[in-house]
Amino acid sequence: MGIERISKAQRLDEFFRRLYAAPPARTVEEAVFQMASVLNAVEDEYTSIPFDAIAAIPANKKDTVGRMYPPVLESLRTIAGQPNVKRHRHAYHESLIGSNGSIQMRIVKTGNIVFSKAGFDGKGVQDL
Amino acid sequence: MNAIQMFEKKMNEMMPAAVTRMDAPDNSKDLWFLNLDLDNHDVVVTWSEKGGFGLISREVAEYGIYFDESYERLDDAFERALFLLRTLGRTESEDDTTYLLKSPVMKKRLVEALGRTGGMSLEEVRAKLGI
Repeated sequence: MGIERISKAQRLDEFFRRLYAAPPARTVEEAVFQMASVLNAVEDEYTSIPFDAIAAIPANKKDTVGRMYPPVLESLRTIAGQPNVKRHRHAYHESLIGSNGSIQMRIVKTGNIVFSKAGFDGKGVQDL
Repeated sequence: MNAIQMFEKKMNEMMPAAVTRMDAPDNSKDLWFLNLDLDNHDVVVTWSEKGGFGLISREVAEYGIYFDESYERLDDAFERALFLLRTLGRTESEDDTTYLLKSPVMKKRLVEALGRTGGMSLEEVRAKLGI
């Protein structure tokens, strides 16, 4: 079993802090890559739970054993009526990613936004 | 109709008070989500052709995870989801560990872990189950 040096909630805050501070992405692909590299860096730094490439793919349905995994490009979903926004689903959250690199994360049940960042053109997901 | 669609149909028949909301992937081989809500108590069901069923019901909505418990058979996942809804149960709680230990599937996994040299050891299984 890996060791979590700080709580998952604290790591999530750190993920949000670093992601917000990073330069805006320009495309969906760039935004997904940025989310993955930032979250994986936080998890590597604050836990000893190794990254599992199989658990990272949602369809494999392998236990994530306490580590948080980022959205995966191959698992992005389309949204009816919003051709410029893609969606990645976790159990409780969904990440909306705009064609301009904008990112929004919200809780599925309530729709509460927990993170929001504009894309390279200054527009947010809600503007697309 | 795939297995999670059958799960939803069965849930609507057995527990009509539970609100179900399917979140289907663009690619049918990817992960499906089914949100169950009974009087504001939630259970999220996941399913993929490759990985079978998963269930999760937590007090706090954690980011970056997909499921807590895994089931191969629709009936096992369904029975457990009904239990969680009826008892306001949560995955990853002591009561639920007790439930899991009564489950033939979980018993089989623990027995299989005894004396195992590769993969997950019994100690690791015990640590994961919190026992």
